[in-house]
Parts: sequence; C-alpha cells; structure tokens
Amino acid sequence: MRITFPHMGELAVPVKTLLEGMGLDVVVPPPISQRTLDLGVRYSPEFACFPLKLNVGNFIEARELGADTILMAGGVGPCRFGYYAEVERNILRDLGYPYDLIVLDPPRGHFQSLKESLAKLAKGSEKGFDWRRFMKAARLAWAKLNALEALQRQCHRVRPLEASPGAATRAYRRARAAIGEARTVQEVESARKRGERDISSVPKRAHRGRPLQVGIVGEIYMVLEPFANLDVEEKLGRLGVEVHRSLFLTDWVRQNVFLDALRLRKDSLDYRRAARPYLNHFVGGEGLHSVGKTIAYAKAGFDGVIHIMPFTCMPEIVAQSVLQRVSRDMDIPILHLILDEHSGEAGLITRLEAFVDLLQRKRDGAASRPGHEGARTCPAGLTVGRR
Amino acid sequence: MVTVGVPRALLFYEYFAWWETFLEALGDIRVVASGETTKETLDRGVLSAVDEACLPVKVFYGHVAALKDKVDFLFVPRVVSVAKGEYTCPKLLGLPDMMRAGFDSLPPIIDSVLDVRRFPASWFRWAYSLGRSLKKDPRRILRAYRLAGQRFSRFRRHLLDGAGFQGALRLSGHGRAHDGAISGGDSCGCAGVSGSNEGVSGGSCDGPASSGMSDSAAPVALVRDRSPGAQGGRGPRVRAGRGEAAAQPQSNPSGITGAGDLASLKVGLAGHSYLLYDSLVGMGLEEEMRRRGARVVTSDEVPDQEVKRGASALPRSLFWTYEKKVFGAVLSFIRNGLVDGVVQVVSFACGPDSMVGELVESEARRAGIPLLSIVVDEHTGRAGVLTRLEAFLDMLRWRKEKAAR
Repeated sequence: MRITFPHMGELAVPVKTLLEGMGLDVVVPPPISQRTLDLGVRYSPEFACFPLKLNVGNFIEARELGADTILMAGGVGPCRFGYYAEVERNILRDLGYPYDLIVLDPPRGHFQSLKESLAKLAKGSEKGFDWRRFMKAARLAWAKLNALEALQRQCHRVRPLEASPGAATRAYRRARAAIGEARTVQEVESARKRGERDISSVPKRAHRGRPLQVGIVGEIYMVLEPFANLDVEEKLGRLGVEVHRSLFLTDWVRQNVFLDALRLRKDSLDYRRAARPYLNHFVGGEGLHSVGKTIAYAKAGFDGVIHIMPFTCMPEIVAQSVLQRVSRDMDIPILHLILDEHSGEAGLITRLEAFVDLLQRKRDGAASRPGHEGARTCPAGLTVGRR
Repeated sequence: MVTVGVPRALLFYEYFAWWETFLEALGDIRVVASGETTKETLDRGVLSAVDEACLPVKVFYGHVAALKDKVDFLFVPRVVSVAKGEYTCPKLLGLPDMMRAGFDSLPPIIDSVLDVRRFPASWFRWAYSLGRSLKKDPRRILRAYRLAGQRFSRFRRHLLDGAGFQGALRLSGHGRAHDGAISGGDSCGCAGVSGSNEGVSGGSCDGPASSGMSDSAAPVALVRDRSPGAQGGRGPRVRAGRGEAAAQPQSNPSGITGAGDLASLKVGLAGHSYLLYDSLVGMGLEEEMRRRGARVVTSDEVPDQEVKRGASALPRSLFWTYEKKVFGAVLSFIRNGLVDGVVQVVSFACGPDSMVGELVESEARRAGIPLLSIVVDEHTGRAGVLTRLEAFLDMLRWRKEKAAR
C-alpha cells in the first residue's frame, strides 16, 4: 500500500510524519502547480468547488508517482466537502485509476466507519500497528505543525517591515525544510528556534507608524493553501500590511477533532458568541467562523478584513450576505475574494492595492479627526484568537 | 387577528400546505402568501442579495421585499433538517439571518429552528414551540398540528397523483368551504382554510393522529408508499405506471406509426420544487412540453419508495434531503426505463447539484437515456430554453422512430 493525501497549506508535513510513523509507505503529491490545476479542472465537474479540483489534480499527480491508496477526510454535511470523497472516487474510477479510498469520517455519528478506516490503515502498515509508535509519531507531527504555524505568524508580522520583499518567506521555506526533516521533537524545536532567528533578522526598512492590520477569514482550504489564494498573505505583506489569519490548522484540530471526539459542545467558542447577533446558527463549513471572526476583528480595531472563498461556496455565501450588514454596522471594510481556476494574479493585485489604499485613507482620515482615536489603538487586535 | 407573511419561494413549494393550515388553525392568524414571481420580484431580489447567491435565494429576497411592509410577521423558519441524518442546503440554514442582513426594516421574523437530524419527533417539538412562541394554548396547537398533518398528506397524495403544485394545494383543502370544522380567518386570497377531519379517501388517513407523536409525525413520512402500478389510472394526468411502460416495448415492434409514437413520447421533468413550480423561474416547462405533444412525469410524481431506491444507486447516501429527492427521481426514471428522456432543471451555482448532477448525468449516459440539463439563473432567456427544449423533444422523437423501425 502506497498512500497519498491531498495538499492543504502545510498539511503535508505533519500528515507525512504521522503516516510514516504508523509504518506506512507515503507518497506526497508534488506541490500544487499550474499542471495540478489543469488536470483537476479537466476532470472535475464544472461547478464543483475549487478545492475539489485541486484535490483531483493532486491525486492524478500522486498516481504518477506510484500511489495506490488515498487518505481523505469525510463529512456529514451540509457543506459539499462531505461528498468530496465520493465524487473523487467516481472521477478516478472513470479515469481508470484503481485507487483505494480510505475515508476518515468525523468521530461523532460515524464511529463505526471511522474505526473501519483506521483498521484499514493499520493493515497497510508494514511493521504492524503499534500504539506507542503511533503516539510518538502523533506527538512529533503535532510539534511540527505547531512550529510551522508559529513561524507563519512571525512572517505575518515581519513581512510588512522587510527591506527586500520575500526575505522572510525565503527564511520560512528554509525552516520548513528543516522542520520537515526533523525526527524528534527536540530537532523540531531547534529548527524552529533557528527559523525564528532567521526570520526576525531579515533586514528591515525604515517605516513610519504601525502597519495596517488586516484580518483574513474564509473557507479553510482557500485561506490555508497559498496556491489557491494566489499567495494573498505574501502580497499583502509586500503592500505593507500586517496580516492576521483567523484559521490555523492547530486551532482547527483543537476545535474540531479534540472537542468533537470528547463530545464537548462548541457553543462556547468565542467566534460563535461574537457572531450571535448576526448569524445564530451553524451553516456548514466555516460560514459561522468567518462571521464571528470578522466581528472580533472589528471590535479589536482592525483596519479591514479580507474574506476568501471559492466560487459558489454555500456556507461562505451565507457569511458574505451577513457580512455586508456587519461591515456597515461596525464600519469595517471587507474585501470578498471569490476565487477559482479563472482568477488572475494581476487583477487580484489591483484589487488588493485599491483596498489597502482605502484602508490607509480611512486610517489617516480617522487620525486627523480630533477626538477620534481611530484604528491606531489596536494593541488588543494583536491578541485576537492568538494563544 | 395578525397577519403572517409567507414568501412564495424556496420551501414554500414543499410545505406551504402544512404551514398555512397549522398557522391558521392556531386561531387569530391570517396567512398571506406573496404573489407569483414576476420580473419585478426577481429584480428586487437581485438588488438585495449578494451577487453570488443562487437564483432561488434571490427570488426569495424579492418575495420578502414584496411582503415586508404588508404583514405583522414574516414566516422564515430555519429549516436545518427534515430527515434523520440529513441536512437541507446551507443557505436555508442561514436564511433568516440573510434576510435580516439584507433589509433595513423588517417585521419580526418567525425563525424557529426545525431540526430533526437526531430525533424525528422534533417535528412535533418544532410545531409546539412555534405555537407556544405565538402564545397559543397547547390544545389548540395539538389540533392545528393534526389538521396540518392531514392537509399535508392530502397535498402530497395529490402531488403524487400528478395534480401539479397549484392543483394539489387547491385539492388538498385550500379554498374548500364545505365543512366548518374550522374556517380560520376570512377566505380572501390565500387565507381560507378548511380542515376537514375525514381523510380524502376513507381509511387512508395516516396522519399523525393515528400514531401519536411518533416518527410518522414527519410530514415526509406521512406519505404512504404505494406501488407505482396501483396509481396507474388515478389523477387527472397519465401516470407513469409500470404496466404501461411494460406495454410499450411490446407495442413498438408491432408497427406503430410515427404519429402514434409522437403521442406516446414520455419525458421526465426533474428539479427542485422551487424551480419547477415558480411562475418565472420554472418557465412553465411542464406546460410547454405537453403543448409539444409530450407526456410529462415530474419528480414529485415519483413515489417515495422509488425515489429511495433510485437514490441508493448513489455511492454514498446523500445528506441533502431535496437533492436526494430530485436525483433519486431522475435515477428512478433512468433505471426503470419509464421515460424516453429526462429534462432536469438546476440552478446555476447550486452547490449540491454541482456534485450530484454530474453523477446522475454519467448514470444516464450509461443507461442510454437522453438527459437535458437546463441551468437557470437571472439571465436565462425563456426563448432560448424553449428552443433547446424543442430540439430535445425532436431528437427524442427521431430516436424513438428509428428504434421502432
């Protein structure tokens, strides 16, 4: 059994570590490229959402590297993601790729099928399944994910200040390679420290005042996968914006895997409480999260919010509808980026530039009005959703 | 007497029979439905909704805009789930919030949450809490619930018999004034309700009254599964009875003329009820097809049992109830070979349809049944669609003539 899985941001690093720790033969699909996209678009339903198309591209490219089994997450709706695995199975079968799909359903409600999937995984392991080895691998994978995301957060802060654009990203990539290679938690930690040093020591330019603060909300795949969102964080950094991303895999795992497995109610989560006046019910996917986090950003005095979603995404369309009112009520500019395979980079840059100009003017205008503290006072903003 | 406005869009076409009877039987409530969708309704909807919203949601915005200044309450329940383990569409989950965000001045919205995903008995709980929130007395609520269930099962039965939405709504008791068990409100417009206590065809009343508040309380479960053959001759329209279909292949080789074939052309029409029955969005496709000499079977005329069997052809049980219904019906058309072709109407950018539609199309290809997918949005022109429809019917005819030769 040679197992593969779809890319999503830095997901490949911890998942590879985890599966290898279970004694499985892992094939990581090539990084998402234009070719991945072209393959995916060619064979996927026209109006399926964008992440599905990239998944299909990943699987086709992994097949070329010899993968024969796919590990995929399942779902129970109402977001389309829950049906991805079935549609993908169908597409790959029609293409003549005899893939075996192992679908991991959420623990709640589908415990039996989850158990079967895990048993299937364990069977594929060459050395047999061993709890102690698995727990060790899980701890290592978790450490890697935490280290990577800590460095990403650091990049968000450093990018608007760097003298030569792209230096922080290069430092991050070096650190990512080292973290990916690490075999023990200690190695991960030392790679992380080296990375932190590297990133913080990139040359800075002289700057005036505090960079603009922009929150990023939206559908998880589009927010986490730089190829899908056309590297929006990096582009904003170059425009001198400090990005605050509302979604990190570590938070997501904590909220959706640990809480769900323990059957704790998620009602108490901060974003749910924040969203209540505008959206008082789960709508699938990250719809509720997008609304709640946007309100939290507005309250924390952020300059603006960027809402990223794939074209035709149902939960995010609900969020978008509601956010129009939030934007008006709370006086926070929101840029909705609706992306798919037709999105062009130049157009995106123009829109981002216009949005950043607008935010700068809004802040300058607010600052020049007496008695209005405006968006300059946002120390609280830095801690929203951050550990 | 307060007026409760029900927008004529989305789930109106599924549950209005139930809602109307229930609300009016609670007493002192007059139910007002918005008028048929017109170009103006849609234009207003398009103005209020975000660009990305699908056509039916934009239509819904339009109807809310038309109603909001004329009623005391707006009835926009949050329909999360109507069947165990299933969901409706995310946009229906967020509908009340979308309306509040979309309009500056709205009357209070009745947005009680209907969620039977875990417990089927929640249908009754939903109705009860809805009644209580309107400060009605429990006995009244119980009675209203029973009457609504009876009206709804009659409605579904007429729908199944091919009466069409308007017909089923009328035949199920709307506007009938023959008994006075309860005649809620004045009988103007959509308001008149007469809940007759006897079932339509004696003995077949299987409303919740007969089984208490058990799982049969779910309106979907109220519809009795009947074998397709048993319905052959019922209803005003020719049903897709199994016996009929079995007769067709035999009669073809026996030298039926082209004209005979034309008459027997049978086409399945599938789509969400809010697309098919909407006066603007649905473009009267059913009528147009019949005018062109085809006999039409809609997805609402496929019995639940058949739908379920059809949907079981999908690789994983669908968690969207209405898609399950529509595509289960299409798959049953395809599988049983009851029709010469299938026309399916889907909305542009409909999330669930984008996933399942493709599976169904490949299924139709494999079975060799022509399938026409009509994708509608606010830019759809009726003339263009009718041309395609005509071409499709011509193709079906030639195909059939060729097969007969």
